[in-house]
Amino acid sequence: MERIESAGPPAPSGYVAGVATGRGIDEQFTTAVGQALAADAKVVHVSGARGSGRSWHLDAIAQLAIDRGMNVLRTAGHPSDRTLALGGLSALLQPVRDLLTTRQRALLDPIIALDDGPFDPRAVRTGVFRALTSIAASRPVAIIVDDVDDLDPDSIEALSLFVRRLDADPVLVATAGAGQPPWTVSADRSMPIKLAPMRQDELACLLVERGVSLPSAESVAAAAAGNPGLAVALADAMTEDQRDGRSPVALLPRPAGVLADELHQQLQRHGDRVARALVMAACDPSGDTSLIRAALELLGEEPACLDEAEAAGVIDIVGPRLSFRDPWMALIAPHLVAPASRRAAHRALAALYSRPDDGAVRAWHLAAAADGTNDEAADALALVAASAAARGASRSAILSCERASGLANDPDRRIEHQLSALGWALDAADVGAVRRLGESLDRVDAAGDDVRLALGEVRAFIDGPDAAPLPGRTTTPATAIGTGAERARRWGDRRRRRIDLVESLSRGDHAGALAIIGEAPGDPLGEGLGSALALRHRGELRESRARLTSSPLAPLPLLLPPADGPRRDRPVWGQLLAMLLSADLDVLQGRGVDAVDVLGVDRWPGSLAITASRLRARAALQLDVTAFPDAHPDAFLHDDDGPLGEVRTAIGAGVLGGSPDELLRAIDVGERHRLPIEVAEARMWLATLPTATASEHQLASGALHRCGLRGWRRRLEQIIAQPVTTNVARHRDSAVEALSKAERRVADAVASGMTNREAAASLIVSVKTVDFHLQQIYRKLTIRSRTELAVRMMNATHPEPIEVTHPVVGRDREPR
Amino acid sequence: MSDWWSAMESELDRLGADAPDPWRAASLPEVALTPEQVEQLTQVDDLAASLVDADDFLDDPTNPEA
Repeated sequence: MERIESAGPPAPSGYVAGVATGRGIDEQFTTAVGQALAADAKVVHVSGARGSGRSWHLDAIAQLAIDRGMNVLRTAGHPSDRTLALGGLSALLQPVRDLLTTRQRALLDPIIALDDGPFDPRAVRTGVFRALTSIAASRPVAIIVDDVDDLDPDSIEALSLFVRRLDADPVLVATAGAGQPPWTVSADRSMPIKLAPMRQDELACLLVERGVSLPSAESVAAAAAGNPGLAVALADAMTEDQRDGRSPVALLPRPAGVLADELHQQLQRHGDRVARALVMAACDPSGDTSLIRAALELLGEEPACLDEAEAAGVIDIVGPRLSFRDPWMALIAPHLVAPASRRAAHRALAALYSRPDDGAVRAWHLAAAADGTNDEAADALALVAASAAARGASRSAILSCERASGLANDPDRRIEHQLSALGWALDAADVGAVRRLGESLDRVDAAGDDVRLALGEVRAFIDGPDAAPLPGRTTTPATAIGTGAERARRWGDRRRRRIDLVESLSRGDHAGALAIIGEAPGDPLGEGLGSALALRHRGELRESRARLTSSPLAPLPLLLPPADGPRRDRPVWGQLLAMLLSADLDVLQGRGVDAVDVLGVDRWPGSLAITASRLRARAALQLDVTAFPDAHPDAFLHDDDGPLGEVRTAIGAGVLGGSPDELLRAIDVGERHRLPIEVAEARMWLATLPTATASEHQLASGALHRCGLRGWRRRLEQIIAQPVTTNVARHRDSAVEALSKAERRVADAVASGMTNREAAASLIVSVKTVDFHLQQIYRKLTIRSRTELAVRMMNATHPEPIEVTHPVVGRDREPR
Repeated sequence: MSDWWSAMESELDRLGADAPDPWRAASLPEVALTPEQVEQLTQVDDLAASLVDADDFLDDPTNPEA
């Protein structure tokens, strides 16, 4: 029969039999394993306080059993799983599932899968007994249970029957816990072992006996905090020079339990009120002081306890934010109260996150407030995940979806969430997440086609198309999806190519982009959109548009169809990008009105909304020659890298800062990297500066003409042809006077009776921009309503126009 | 997650299990995402769906353009 070694905690690699020399424990272990192998069942229980090395000793006996050829089944109790019926048993039986008879499997499968349905405890007890007995009959078996005090009661009850009836069986049961074993067995079968933490000098002696020099042994003994197994493992990890005392021993990390305990005690010293304040502060990573105070109030606490926590020196409150002085404390603090109270803290915080854009934070607090499964919280997190994925935040999407999977009640929904997370993990090439999710999905029994397909992709992703099946499974990339290898290769190639292409395009490297596209024809994103964008960078606007309109991703006639339209009618991402490029070409070719029609639609999703608003600002500058560039700063924002980014940054700095030098730099960089559109635009802005010369006008006009930039050329010609005057109201109200130009425009529009939407349309900005400016205006004028605004603006406005002249021709200088 | 972290988390759970429970009986209103929050998350959800569509479109072997 195949030998099973359950995936319990790894045995300490540095453990060497004889650790417990002086206690005689190693001899007892050897005896127990020997007797079990001779069909004389033994039940060992290792008890002792935390840090006394219980788990290390249990690992030692497990290792001994493995070395002597026994099947080893392991599980461990966990405080959070105390209420998870049969959770411990599920972990124990998982690796032997394939060894069970059909009948046993039918009975025990629901336990292994942790189904929530009702179960007959008697049938489970008998089933477990029969299953373990039949496994032991094939090969001696060791059952190892760590932290048995935290094992769920149903698992203990089911195992008890087996343990109590042990007799002349080749079985070793070894448990570890703080107190007594959970079952009583006859004295001749039982082997209790009680551990006390070893004193530091005892530990040091133990290490010296093992050949470690005294100073090194003392350092290691201090770090091991009474745990002999840990001390030996640490000593074995030292170099020879360190063991001999010739090199210093580096500062050794303290065991997690010791560190947790120390910090916990430090926090407890400040008293209950401070502890409760710290719990709330630690539960909300935003550090928003007023919100944390409000949450404390919701739970009947004095909000001032937060100040006591600051006085105690644990947190700092600076303005509206608080932070923990020691990040470890933020990790420990939530555990100063029991889990139920911690959940209440998260519920209180969730209640306070009520603004429309607080959805994600509220969802995470609801998840943390859930006790067991909670479909509502799971669905909320699934929404958060989708939203994060759409923003490109794949890690957040994966984590949200994994958490949603843990919260969902229905097993199918749990799998759905995991599959979504896996899809994003594959897409983001997140190896760790792919591996984790793959392992989790591989444990799904009676997996459907979707799970098998996903597993094939995981194997192909991690191990390549020739990956072997996992132990006990038959799924390989090829058997899972038929063409798994081909699909994986295609996926990888396409992804790499697209990343290279996007990087080239964002640098303005049109030659590189076109070369990448030429290497691999057939990708609609590359051949259509990619080449259109590269041609646009190269200054070939007509060819760019032709490529765009003949592409399978051609811009749609309507931006978005009705929400209830058929699925295929929805624009795909590439089509939305094509639409934006088309609008960009419209603006460049002097058809800003068309662009505004498309860009004005208020439904551009995610990051595309930002690009749309920038293009709208550029269109606005072309359509209204009287518009000042600094009223449309968005027109000069960009996300580009490399030379293209450098040119666009310099143009923005030149125009908004009135700096000819920046514009000259833009021209220089643009010419060196063959970016004619940007060079022509920089020349245009240079020609509209007060210092511009007639030659600069000619140069700019020629450059714009050659590139076909009709919109900018029109603006330049209008400015050259005649001084443009603008009626600007004179301000008498100093607060009104202090408004920015953009705010003033919004204030004028709204004061004239327009709605926000109408004002947005008239100013060619988004409704959100108007909302934002209005908030600022209300704040600056300390008013609360549109009526107040109208009165204020009317009083502040002087009817006489003053003349503002746009910069036109300056003194003649040498052409640049 | 490393063994050290697992050990730390398990220790913290242990500490919390025996800690005081001051807010166990706190009566708080049940909250869920507001319709506005759902709308804002779903708006982008449309986008995610369109991304999925894009991938379907590009990866569909029966699509002559893919």
